[in-house]
Amino acid sequence: MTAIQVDKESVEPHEKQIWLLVPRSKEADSESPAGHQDERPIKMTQSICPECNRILKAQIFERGGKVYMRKVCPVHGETEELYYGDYDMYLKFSAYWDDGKKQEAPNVKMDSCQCPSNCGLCTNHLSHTGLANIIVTNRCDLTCWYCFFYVKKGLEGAYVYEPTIEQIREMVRALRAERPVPGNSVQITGGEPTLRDDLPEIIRAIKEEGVDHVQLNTNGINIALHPELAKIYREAGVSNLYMSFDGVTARTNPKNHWEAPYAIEACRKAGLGVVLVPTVIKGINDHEVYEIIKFAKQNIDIVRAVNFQPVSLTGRMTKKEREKYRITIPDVIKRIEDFSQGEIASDDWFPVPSCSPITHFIEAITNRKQYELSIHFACGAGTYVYLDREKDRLVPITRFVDIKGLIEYLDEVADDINSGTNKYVEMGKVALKIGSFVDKSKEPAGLDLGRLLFEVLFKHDYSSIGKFQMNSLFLGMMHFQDKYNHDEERLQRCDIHYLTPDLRIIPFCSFNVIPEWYRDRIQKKYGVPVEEWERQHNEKLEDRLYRGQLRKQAIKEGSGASCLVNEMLSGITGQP
Amino acid sequence: MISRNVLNRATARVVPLTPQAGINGTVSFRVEFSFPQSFIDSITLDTIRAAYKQYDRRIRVRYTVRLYKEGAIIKRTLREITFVKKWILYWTRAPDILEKYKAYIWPLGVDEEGRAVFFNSFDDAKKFIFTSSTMMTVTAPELGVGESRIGATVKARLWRHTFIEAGTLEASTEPVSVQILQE
Ligand code: SF4
Ligand code: SF4
Repeated sequence: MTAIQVDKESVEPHEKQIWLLVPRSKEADSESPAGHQDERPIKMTQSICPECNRILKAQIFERGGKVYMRKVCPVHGETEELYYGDYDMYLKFSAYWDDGKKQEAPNVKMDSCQCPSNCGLCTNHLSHTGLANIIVTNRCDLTCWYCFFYVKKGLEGAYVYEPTIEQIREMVRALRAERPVPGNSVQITGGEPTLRDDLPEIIRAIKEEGVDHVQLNTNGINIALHPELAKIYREAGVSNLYMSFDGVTARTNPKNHWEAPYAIEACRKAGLGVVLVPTVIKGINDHEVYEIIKFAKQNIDIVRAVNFQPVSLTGRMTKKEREKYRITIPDVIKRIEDFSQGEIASDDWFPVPSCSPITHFIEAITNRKQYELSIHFACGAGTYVYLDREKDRLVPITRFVDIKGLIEYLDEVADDINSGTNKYVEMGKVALKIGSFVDKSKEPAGLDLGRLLFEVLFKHDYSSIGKFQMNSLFLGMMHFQDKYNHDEERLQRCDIHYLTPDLRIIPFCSFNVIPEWYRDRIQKKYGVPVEEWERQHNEKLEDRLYRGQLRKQAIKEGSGASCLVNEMLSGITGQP
Repeated sequence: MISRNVLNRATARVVPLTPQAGINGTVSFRVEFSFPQSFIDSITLDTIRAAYKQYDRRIRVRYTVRLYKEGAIIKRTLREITFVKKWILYWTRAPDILEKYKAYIWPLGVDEEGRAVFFNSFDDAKKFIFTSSTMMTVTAPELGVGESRIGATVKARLWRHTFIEAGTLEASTEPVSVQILQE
């Protein structure tokens, strides 16, 4: 096993600072939040104070059918926050709780780790990396007012952070050294990664280090302007694009409304799959969640998934402001049910860790630890929808597959095998039984899911998945945390991580929720001041800013929208 | 590893909730079952911590409850219900549990309906999974006018874990009498 040497300097001063900010002996003294009469306590957990990051006791409780978190900082007082918008769903989803395999090769060894202060990953972290983010630049061609991810010129301490290809290789080696399951999936992110001219070389380097799945997180603008890039990235090894897409109107999606259709077209020509990523904000774009799915349906040949991200509220906000914008996973699911008039209903969704019994079954028959999605149930949810072309409707997979029954059954078979029954006999039984979970009378025409499952599970034949993908969409949700709803039980199970040049592997919701401990510190240490970067590159930071060429061109064409935008959005909103 | 012998002494009883009914009515029973107390006592926080460390984190008990009417020769099945109760062992960050029990591995329950049950005490958690209480209702015509002797059997299937071998516990109740009256 490769031993990864973490840069000690990054960890030690960091830990000292935590001691100053969060004296551990004081943690037990933080007041237990008092309950109220109309509330039903559910459980306790730990969180942080949104003002000073002090670790606090937090109460999770139900009120009026919703789940809230309350915590009291001895200095900054009480914070109450909506945690999960539906109590019933909370109970249903938490039943799929499943702790992961832990890290047998932790990069940070701490005797008395206290989340979230020793991330890297530390000895106590429970999930291996599901998706590793590598920031290749913090420059961006947009300047969205709400974004904290890109370097803002003029701000004191603004640094351009662009790890070298050699540093990136080292980071990927740290990922591949994870045990028992080496990380195998990387997301290249930024800033805007396509601003790096050496991006194809970076992609190739990541692939050469043994990573199978490389996803490119982008606003799509560069690809819209230079469609040939889609082919270049695909040939270099990108598996799919992860593209921001906040709505189907220019008002809800100011970021790339005019450009996204061109980027999608470029991907279609290059055969590069696209995942649409809407950040959902209450009162801003939550009324368009189903329209976004319809847009994906229109492009189902190339759009593989829509991954909704209920907004994470960063920066200081009053309770009133938070209530105005806060939306949680069950709320988005409910909006989709309402706007689709039940086409995709709340019962069609499952929490991410509900996949674990499938992993346990495969582990029981292979006797080997497998890749597992063991995040906290409140972090993410998903479902598959299949396009019934005859009826032009999206049919959630749950309408013709007894998913709950299948999960229970596989769980029991894994128990049987682990209890000593012959695994080949059990596999035979599963092969015979698996089709019974599919209701053929409700299965969309042209689909034979029972056969597909059999071929994948037992013959390891994945050829029919391609056809399934061409007609299906994965709908996912991930609610990134913020300082108000931060829950250490969620964080400890996080499997979306960042790779950093000091060879740490840091959970997303530590890296971005407490940037002063993680993101900012790392980017300062490994970045260069903006002025120096400009001198070195003989270029101004603002030279690469996008100046709305496609929007201007569309408006000049006179229709209020260019043809492609019109075509792709027609029938969705009536007005692009 | 806990000896399997302790599993031999499971207990069950059936409680008639309506000992008497008219021929057009219904009769309800509660069937109670418990793993042997010695087994329940032997499951401690150390047991579950050791299990957790070896990735043994889902403890499932499948209960099959059969209600029957005693006849001269055979016992006629009136109702049979199968359900699963689960424990999922997880690493808790709950300060109250950490402080009270000095333990960080804790069970989360999953009930027959597939909904989570959170526990504040370890005894409650054990009671949840190692005992069952099932309501069963039959219509009076199924029993017929006169006295009926009603009994139940409960089977509890447990799979292999780090602390116990796989096995099925079985317990039968003493039959109880109910009267169905001609109206
Ligand atoms: S979040 Fe994970 S890596 Fe970070 S301190 Fe907690 S257990 Fe350790
Ligand atoms: S990134 Fe945040 S929301 Fe996603 S799994 Fe990690 S902790 Fe949960």
